[in-house]
Order: sequence, then structure tokens, then C-alpha cells
Amino acid sequence: MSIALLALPGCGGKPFVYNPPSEIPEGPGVFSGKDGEFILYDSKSGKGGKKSKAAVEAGAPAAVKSSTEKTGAAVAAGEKVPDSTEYREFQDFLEWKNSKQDAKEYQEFLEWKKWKEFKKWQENQ
Amino acid sequence: MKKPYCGSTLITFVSFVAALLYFSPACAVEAKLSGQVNQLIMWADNGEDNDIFIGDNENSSTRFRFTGSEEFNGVTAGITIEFDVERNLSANFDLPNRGDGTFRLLDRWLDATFAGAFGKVSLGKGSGAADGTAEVDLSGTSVITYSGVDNTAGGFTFINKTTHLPSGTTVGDTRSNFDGLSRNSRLRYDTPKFAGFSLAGSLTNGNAWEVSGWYAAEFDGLGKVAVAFGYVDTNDRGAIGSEFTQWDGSLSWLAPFGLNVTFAMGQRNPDAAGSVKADNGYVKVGWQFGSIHAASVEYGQTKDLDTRGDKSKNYGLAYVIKPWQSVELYAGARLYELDRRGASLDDIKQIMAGTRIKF
Repeated sequence: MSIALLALPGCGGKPFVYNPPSEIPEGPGVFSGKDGEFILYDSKSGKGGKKSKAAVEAGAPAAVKSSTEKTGAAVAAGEKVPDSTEYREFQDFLEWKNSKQDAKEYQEFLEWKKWKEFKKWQENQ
Repeated sequence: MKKPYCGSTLITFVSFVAALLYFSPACAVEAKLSGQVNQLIMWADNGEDNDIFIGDNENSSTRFRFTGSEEFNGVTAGITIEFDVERNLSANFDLPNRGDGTFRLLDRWLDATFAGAFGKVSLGKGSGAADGTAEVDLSGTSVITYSGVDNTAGGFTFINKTTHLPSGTTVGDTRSNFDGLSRNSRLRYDTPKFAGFSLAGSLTNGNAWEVSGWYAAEFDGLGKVAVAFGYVDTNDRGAIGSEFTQWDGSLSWLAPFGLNVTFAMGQRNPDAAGSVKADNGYVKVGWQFGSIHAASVEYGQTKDLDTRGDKSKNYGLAYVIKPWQSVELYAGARLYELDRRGASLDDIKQIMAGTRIKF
């Protein structure tokens, strides 16, 4: 055994990670999916939660993917995904925006937008 | 035995960690949860009695774990916290079967690590350097049979054929693969891998120490090969009079067309005056086919472990099917024999089936 251990590294094999038989096997889990692990927290995606299958396949963090779906902004394959700082800033913006929706100024802004749409319609008649 | 100089080891470790933390800002954090459930049903016969058991498969017990890591500039700090969640362990079954046994939550890993280009430093409870060195196995059937043969039958007592009474000797008393010191509270260092080869050393309580060498690589046309070798000196660890030195090794080869062969061997040399060396040998030949099936046959023997002149042997068959990547269904059968001078003992037979599901 020790002779094999000393001789084999010189034979040019491709190393692989050996998983002992008594440990939890590598590979997917019934509930945890492809990774085989529930992700409780991942700083790259900015927050906790298991990655969705679609997000894993697209190579994008789950949280980023769901926020883009919500806002309608498409993330094409290969397109650069925002980093965690940018993502957190965007979340702050959404939170600020939602908190202002009941304000008098915001309602006035919506009325103004409707009036602009009405004017545009009038011009096209 | 000369005791290792623990003071300098401790100072070196603390300085090393402090230097890493001071110079490297954190840049990525991960925390994960994973686990498995592994339950089996077994019929066993000791020559006088037989019964059916349902319990936890000690080959790879039911458990869950938390892992976390934080990446610094070139250094990853990590933690592993893992618990066995067990009831009625297969290693403790014995006839007659009296019930479900007791529940236990047992710490397996409480480990802090720092890994980088320098290798890996681990502190806490986890595998000692030689843990697993007698258990390398690429057969795909290790969930039900591997060199740790007492995990499915260690509690069964051999029956004296003449008196028809229990002999007082169990399978576990007479069998061991001499595989390191399992998991223990240790300071461990692993070298970086060089072409699949690495070395490890660990120091644990009682001034016990372990060293090991590991190799795992895949060759075009020849398949996968994994090899390990370990050495242990228990020094003052354990009960007085039970100290020993021990070496062990294992080799497993998996051909591209599915044939696989596994060998394990080891020897324990007790420190006690007048004691005799105990030896173990194990061989398994298997076949993986249809991408989800694996089958194997095995033979193992431990000599002189409990009593001088003992030959404790086993023969086994195993079959595993993996219909989904996260689910294994398995079946196995084993026969245990003990040849002891001046005693005639019944064989112990068992047939098992079960499942391991990773969640």
C-alpha cells in the first residue's frame, strides 16, 4: 500500500476528491436539489434561501433572479449579474419607493402621469 | 514514548491564525445545511435464536450538519458542526431483540479550519489524520458492506455450541480494521495536494498522534485509484494498559467498465508486556453496471484481537441500486465465524435491506 502511495503520483493521473464511505455522499439531495445542501446564507447572492433551479441553471443567484423577475428586467444568458453591493442598493431603492406609495406627492405624481398620457392620446386624435 | 512539545505547537497555530486574520479582509461568506437518513431492516441468526431488527445503519448513520466558510484573500476559514441522530444502531444489535433502543444525539464534527495554498489546518473534533485510511472503497456498495465489518454486527454474541449459552464474546470484540482513532478532538494539518497525493498529521488528547498519506486519481483507460496509509500511537490516550501503536492501509481500484477491487489491511501492536500483535485483512471484488447498480462480494479476517489464536472471519454479499441520485436502496448478507482454541462457537448470519436518503 505504501509503495503504491509513493509510486502512483508519478504516473500522471487526474486527481479527484475521494469521499469516505461513512460520510454524507456527494451529489444532490431530495429536498436540497442539485447542490445537496440548503444554502442558509450566501454573501454573493446577498441573503439566505435556497437557490431556485432556474437560477442555478442560469448561473445567477436566486435572490437577484427573483428581483429581476419582479421588476420585469430580463437577465439574458451570459449577461453580467449585479454584484451584491449593487443588488443591496437596488433593494433599498425598491423599499424606499414602496414606502412612498401612500404619500400625497406620489399620488399627485401618478395623476400627472395619467394627465400626460391623456394629452398624448389627444394629440394623436 | 517521547511526548510531542504541545506548547510550541499551540503558539505556532495561534500565531498563524492571527496573521491570517490581520492581513486578509473577508470577501465571501457561505452557510449550508445538509444531511441524510439511513435506516435498515435485518434478519439475524446466532445459531440458537433469530429475530428481525429495524434500526440505524452504523456504516453511515443518520445525521445532519452545518457548514460555513468565509473567504479571505487566498484563505478560507471554515466550520463544520455535525450530529448523529440515532436510535437502535446496527452495531449494537444482539439477540434477543428487546425493542427500539434509546435515542441519542451525538457530536461527530465540531471543527474550525483554515485552508489555502499552505494546505489546511483544523482544530476541534473531526477526523484524526489516520481516520478512514483502512476504509478507502470505490465499490459503490460501501453503504452496506465495507472493511468496518463490525458496524453491522458488532453487538452480536457468539453462542457456545456445547453449552448453547452465550460465550461472552461479541463480533465487535474480535473484529477491527485498525482504522486510525476515528474522530477525535485534535489539531490537524493537511499538506496541499500534489498530483492527487497529500500527507496529514494530527495530535489529540492523551498525547496521541496520527499520520497518514492519501492518493486519489483517475487514469485514462485504467479508471480510478484511491490509496491511503495511516499510523497511530495512542501514547496515554484511553484506559491504562490499553495503549498501542497501529498501522493500516487500503487500496481501491475502479475500472472504467465497472470491475472494482478493494484491499485493506492493518496491524495493532499493544504496549502491554506479553501481548500479541493483532492483524486484519480484507478484500472486496465488485461490479458496477447499468450506471445505477453495484454488487460485490467480500472476505475479511482479524487475528488475535480478543484472545491469542482467535481467527474471526466474515463472508459477505452486497447489492446497491441508486434509482435517483439522492436515494440508495441496498441489500446485503453476511456470515461471521470465530475459530477459537478450546471452544466451538456457532456462526452468526444476517440478511439486511435498507435505504440511505440524502436530503
